[in-house]
Order: sequence, then C-alpha cells, then structure tokens
Amino acid sequence: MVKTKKRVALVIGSGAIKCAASIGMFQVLKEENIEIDLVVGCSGGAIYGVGIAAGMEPVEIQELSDSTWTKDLMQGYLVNLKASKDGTLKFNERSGLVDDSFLNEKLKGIAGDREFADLQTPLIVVATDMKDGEPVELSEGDIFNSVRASLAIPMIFPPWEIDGTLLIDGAASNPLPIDVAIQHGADVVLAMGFTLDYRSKFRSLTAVQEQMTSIYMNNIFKNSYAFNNLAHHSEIFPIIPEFDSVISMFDIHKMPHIIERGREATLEQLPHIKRLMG
Amino acid sequence: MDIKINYVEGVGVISIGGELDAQSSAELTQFFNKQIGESSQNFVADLEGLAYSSSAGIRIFLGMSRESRRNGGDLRIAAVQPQVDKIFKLSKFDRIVKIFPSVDKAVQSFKQ
Repeated sequence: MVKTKKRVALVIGSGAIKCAASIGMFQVLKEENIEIDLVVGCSGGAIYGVGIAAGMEPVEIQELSDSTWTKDLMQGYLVNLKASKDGTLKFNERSGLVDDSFLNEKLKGIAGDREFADLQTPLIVVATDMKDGEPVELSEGDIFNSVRASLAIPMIFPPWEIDGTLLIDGAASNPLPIDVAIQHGADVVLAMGFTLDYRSKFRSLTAVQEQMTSIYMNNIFKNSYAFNNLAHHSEIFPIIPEFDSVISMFDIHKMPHIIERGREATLEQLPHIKRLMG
Repeated sequence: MDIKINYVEGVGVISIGGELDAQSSAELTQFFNKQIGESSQNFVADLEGLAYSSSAGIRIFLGMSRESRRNGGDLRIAAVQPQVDKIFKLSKFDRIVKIFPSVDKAVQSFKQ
C-alpha cells in the first residue's frame, strides 16, 4: 500500500516563557490550514502543547500564557535559597526552592480536568525520570500531572511523582523531543526549539552555575537535534526564533515580541513546508 | 536546483545553486554518485548559490562526505550562505566536515 498523506508533528521544546513563540507558529499554521496530527511538548512547551492539542484559538492560548508567567511562580525562592545555603533548609530528592502551590494552581487553570483522551489532537508530554535520567513520555490520564512533571525545573520546582516514578523537567533529558515525533510515525516534523542565553558578566556563584547550565543544555539541544536529523527519513523543519535581547522568565511585557518572533521564524520556513506538503 | 562540476587543480568543484530539500536531494545524490566513481576523490561543494538546505539536504552532504572518505578522499564545503550556515551549525555538520569561506581556500586546503 502506498502512503500518501504526510503525518505532521508539532514539537515544542523547553524554553519557559520563550515557548510563547509557539503561539505565533500556531497562528501561521492555522492561517495556512496546515493540519497537525501530533503535538509533542517539553517543559514550558508542554503548556502551549496542551492549548494547541485542545483546539484552543491562539488568542485564548495567549491569555493563558499572560496569566502564567508571573512572579508569584517563584514564591519562596530567595528565602529558601538562603536557607539551603546556611543549612536550615534540608534538601532531598523531593525538594525545590520554590513553593509550587502557585505553579500548580496556574497549571490547573490551563489543563482543567482534561485528560489526554479529551484532546482534539494527540499530545505527548516529555519529562525525565529523576532516578536514572531517562526521558519519559506521558500521554495518558490526567494532563495536569504530566505538564507539572515536565515543568519541574531541577532544584527550583519540586519533582512530581506519577505512578511511583519521581519525575523532573523534560529539558534535563530531551529539550527538543523530535525523536518522540519520529517514533510515533511523523513524516514532517515542525520543531520549535530554544537555546538558553549566555552571560557576559559573572558576579556570583549563581551566575556561573547558570552559565554552566546554559552550556550543558545548549549542547544537549544541538547534539540531540543533530542525531534526530540524521535518523529521520523525511524533513525536520527547525523553527528557532531569534530574540534581540535576553528573555527572562517573567518578561511578560515582551510577550508580543516573543509571539512575533515565533511567527517570523515560522514564516521563514513556510515556503519549504508548503512545498513538501504539496 | 542547479548542479554543475568543474575541476580545479584535480579537485572536483561541485557548484550547487537554488534550494536543496527532500525533493531535490535525489538529483544531487545521483549527480554525485556519477562523479565519485569516475575521477578525483577530492571534492569541494561550492554553496555560494545555495539559498536553502533542509534537513534532508544535510543528510545528502553527509552521505557525500562519507562516500568521499570511503574512497580515500574528502568533501569540503565552501562559501556557505547565512541561512544554510544556520542549519549546518544547528546540525553540528560543521563539526564533521571542513568548511572554508571560498572555493579557492577549500581547493588549496587539499595541498596542505
């Protein structure tokens, strides 16, 4: 039997607030009537993956996005950081520096009571097994738990347990999970990914740690992209938005700029995507 | 896509123009396979006229590089345009093959 229709997967990688660029990508795909057969989301990308897979309009996703990245997400961070340094806060594998009640509340607002089976388009969320570092695919049951696990940024948000497995941020193992899309039969992969910004000044231990994290993460990102690119039988379209300035986690005022950069990066690839889709 | 070859100091300089993707990559593979058995095992891919390369394009270049090396030669890349350079770097292709700013520099590199 000859296969004719190309199966299209949308992959949204980790990148916290930068993942809002996927709203711009989604706008373009809707305008061009490009149908998505599978959505894969990792970390911040999982939030937007839910909106897209649920069939929300871009403007609705933007409203949810605007209410997500607020400073109360980091409730308790500074106090707990200090306490962890002076030894008054005992850390273990279930700890995080942030009181995650705000994050959980926001994610419940996004996911609602939805289960994966309720979504219009199949969604796979990627997290990481805290015990062995292996990526874990989540695509069944309650959406909130999966997105919460995928967003558990190490040491910041506490890990999240699902079915006896302690899970952390999907970015730790698979920041742009193109392989998941390939494994689930995608021909055309539209992969929106984000690298971490590098610093130019280092005035604290935290600054150096952040720089090291950026180096590790960006190399994982590129190495896994390179491997997946070699492994795939058809096309992977990398949609990598470029930003004029550093985007920090709570730059809500930059949201229009982030979305616009997502649009631009998608429009750059659009003629090639359309040509392949015939 | 436009493909042509000329020889400079024994090196096959393959000029590739236009856009390289899953559909056009078969043409380049076919062209290269004809060259590799016939003459020099050293090649330079002149990409000055290549405006776009997709992920499938990268795989073709890697295949060309592998074949050249298997035959005791090499494929080197010259005059990469910014859009193509971005995808080369993202794919870490620039860690696998030698890339030069001009065809002349790429050809001369075979003498060193």
